[in-house]
Amino acid sequence: MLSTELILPIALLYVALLFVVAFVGDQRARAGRLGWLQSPVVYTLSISIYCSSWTFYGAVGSAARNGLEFATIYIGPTLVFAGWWLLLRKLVRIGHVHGATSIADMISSRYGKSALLAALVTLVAVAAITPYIALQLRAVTASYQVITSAGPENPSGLPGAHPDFNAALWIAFGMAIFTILFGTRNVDAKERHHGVVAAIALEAVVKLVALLVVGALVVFGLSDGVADSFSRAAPALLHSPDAFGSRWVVTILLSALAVVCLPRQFQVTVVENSDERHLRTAAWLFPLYLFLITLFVVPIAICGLALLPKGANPDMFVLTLPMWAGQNAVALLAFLGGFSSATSMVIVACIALSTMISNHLVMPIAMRFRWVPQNASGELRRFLLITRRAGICVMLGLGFLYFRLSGTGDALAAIGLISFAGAAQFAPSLLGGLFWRHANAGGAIAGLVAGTALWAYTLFLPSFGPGVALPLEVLRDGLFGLASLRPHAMFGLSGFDPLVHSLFWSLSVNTLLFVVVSLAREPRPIERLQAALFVDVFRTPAETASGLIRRSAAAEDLSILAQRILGADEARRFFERAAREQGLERGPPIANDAFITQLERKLAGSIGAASARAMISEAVALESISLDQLMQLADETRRVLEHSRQLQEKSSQLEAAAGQLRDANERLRRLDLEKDEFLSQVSHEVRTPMTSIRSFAQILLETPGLDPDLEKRYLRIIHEESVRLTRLLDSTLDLSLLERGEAPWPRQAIDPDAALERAVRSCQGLAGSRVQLRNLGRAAGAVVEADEDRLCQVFINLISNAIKYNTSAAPRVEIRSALRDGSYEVEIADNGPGIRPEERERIFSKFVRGWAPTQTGASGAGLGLAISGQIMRRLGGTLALVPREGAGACFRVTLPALISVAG
Amino acid sequence: MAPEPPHTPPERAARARDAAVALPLVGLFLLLPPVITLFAVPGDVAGVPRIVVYLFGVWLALVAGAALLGRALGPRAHTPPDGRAPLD
Repeated sequence: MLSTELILPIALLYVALLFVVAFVGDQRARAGRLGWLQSPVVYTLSISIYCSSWTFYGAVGSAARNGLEFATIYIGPTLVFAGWWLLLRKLVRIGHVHGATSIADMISSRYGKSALLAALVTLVAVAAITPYIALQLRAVTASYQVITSAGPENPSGLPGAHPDFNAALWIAFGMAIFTILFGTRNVDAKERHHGVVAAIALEAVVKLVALLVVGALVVFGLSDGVADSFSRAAPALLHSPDAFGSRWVVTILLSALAVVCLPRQFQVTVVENSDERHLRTAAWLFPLYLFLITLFVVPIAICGLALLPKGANPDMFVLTLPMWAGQNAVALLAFLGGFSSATSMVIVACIALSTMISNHLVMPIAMRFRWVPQNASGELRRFLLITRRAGICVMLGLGFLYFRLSGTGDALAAIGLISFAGAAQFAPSLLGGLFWRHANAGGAIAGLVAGTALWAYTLFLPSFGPGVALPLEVLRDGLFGLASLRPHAMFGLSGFDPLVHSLFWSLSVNTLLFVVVSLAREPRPIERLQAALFVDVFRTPAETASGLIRRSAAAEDLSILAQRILGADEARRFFERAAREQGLERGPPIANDAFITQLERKLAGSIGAASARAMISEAVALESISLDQLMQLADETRRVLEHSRQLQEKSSQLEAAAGQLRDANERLRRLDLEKDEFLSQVSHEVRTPMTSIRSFAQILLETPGLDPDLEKRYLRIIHEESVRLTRLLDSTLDLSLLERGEAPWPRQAIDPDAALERAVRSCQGLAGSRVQLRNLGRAAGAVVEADEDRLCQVFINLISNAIKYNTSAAPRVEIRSALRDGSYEVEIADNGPGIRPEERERIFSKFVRGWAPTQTGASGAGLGLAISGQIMRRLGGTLALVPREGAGACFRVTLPALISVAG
Repeated sequence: MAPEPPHTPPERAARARDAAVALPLVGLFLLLPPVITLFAVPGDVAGVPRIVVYLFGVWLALVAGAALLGRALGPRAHTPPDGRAPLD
């Protein structure tokens, strides 16, 4: 055992050390040298206030009673932090953007800065956290009693039957002093408590080290390693058949909700967060912390059960085992660890709750009854500080009272779970408000009231013990003697664990009312605005709000208001900065919408969003919310989706356009090539006759006395070549005219067969007797709209080609016309050499003679088919080479027929 | 959503985000009945009951998963405005 004379100075020294750390932290922060104070590790360590003395002492107690169930309390937070991307990231971002000072502030802010909701959340939080603070008081008191009074021969750890309430009162008093000294130095609740965070980070290390040292002592000192320590376990401890039943599931859910909804967790995770990126580290470091701190819980519980006398309080095993082993130093460390875990929890919980009490309970009432000091000399700041300090005392007082009233009964874990279940009532409105746009204040209030009432009736009030808060008859027979209202069997739902039962009813009714009332009620404009800002926090900048709320006020009124709340210096600095940013040399800033919104946010950092809004509203002459813009903002998501859809469409259009451009470019390049080719072809074609003309003309000029016969022959050649040249140039001109397609042709209804007959007739001479022209069939009576001469030209060209290039032994040209599918068709086929396959694509191009080399000597400019193709195109028809079996080529001319006379 | 820094390709970041959503769900699945009851059977691993090894193993895997994902999600050079943001 350790004497009081030893324990007290050590505990006080430890507290002094915490003071020094907190002081140094505050000094550094004030000097702007934040350094490690803002590191993600310190952030994570401050979150570990989740592990209060419930963890330090109670986890082992829970493990000794219920086996692995203790782990559920740490699995929930592990899952929430491992899934930080889903929830915590958004929560922290909103906390930053809207300057949330507490969970009550956050919820009221979300639901249109409702002062009623803020007050309600505060009341619920006070009720829910009271047992939690009582738990800490009880654990510290018990540990103090154990370490000072129980001898090593009988370290029963006082099963809690006789708590020393005197010591508890002193402990509560001491904690209140510490919290007041460090928690309420600044009135701006949004300003971070760097000193406190530094102190609780140190405490986090101390409690982890202490528990690990105790664990190591138990496993390696009192047992022979891990396997040995587990071998002592009673088989039922770890393998009870219903270990993984409804309680397992419910407590995982509960702890997951609690790590978000507990006011102190909200305080350290969201309010004290200085950088969103710290969450990335906390996401794995905090679960790792939980892992380490629970690592030895099971072996300690097993060894405590096996080694310590029967009836020893399992909640004190962490302390009594080292004492039993005579390891006083370890016992002292364990005591300090437990002390650390309790004080850090109490400090932060009291800071969070006192801020809520002063901002959301006292301020609105004080404003209503004009208690708030009206002068600008900083009395309001003092008033706020006093209410906060009083709030801290109230919380510790309530905690002590709860401890005093319920003092004898439950295990630590059971008390903690009552608080968890109370805090979990915030979950529907908090989480629903983050993701569901239509959640509104009506739903939040209805859900919270009903859920809390059910929680209080089924869990909180019965926890005081029979006859204290609820009369025995109510506990046994239900309210008004109605069996369906029995606190542990509401509506006849019996056979469940009280915690599971209570949580089922309170959370489901809470959620149900939250959803139903939200759906049934039309939100006010300000609620709608806040909903949009919260739900779309990653898309909508908070500054948007300033454009939506139109307000005007006298700058002097705002200045007085700011001085009252912020203090003269701070207010002056704020106004000067605002004026500078508005580009004003001196004088007060213009009280426009943006400035008023800015000021409101600044004031909200001190007194909460609801009170700040109420105070600003008093100073503001006129206020209106632009509904149109609000609707637009509310439709932000849809707008973003629409925008992205349009972008996608536009991009695919652009892609298509780019493709078309690519094609057009390709076509142009091909045309350019063709043009070059054409020019060189024309030059070549013109050059051949020109050469012979020139050379014969030269001979005629330079050879005097030329034989007249020869002379005549030369002249004939010159004439023939000139004719050929003219024909070539005519054709070229013709083609270029056709291609440009300038002058429209007179088109009239004609009988195409007549043009065909004319063409056949004019080719008879060319065919002579060598080539047989066979007329196979006629369309008889077809009418097309065309230029008869041009059509005839096409036919002549095709027939003459078929005759000229036919090298067959018995040359034959077959001509037929027919009406098919509303079109007039002419096919001209020959039994000549045919078109070489590789030329099929190109024969309608200029200067291409597709026929196989002929011996007929017949030659043309190679423009005929190109011209014919162009003519048919302009007549609205086609000219095509028909693929066909066997020798020869077959060309098909197609023209759309007018309603055929022949039917 | 801010553009990803260049060293985290958007596609990889998107996968990391999906994984960040999946991680807690997988953890929940593994730690809820009926899956966990599969391991609540007699038997031990090096003297430690199987269920304890399983529970703490999953736990450690969640820690590792969260650490890896935290890195994959990339440090974003974004410091949110705090309550005392400059006037806009």
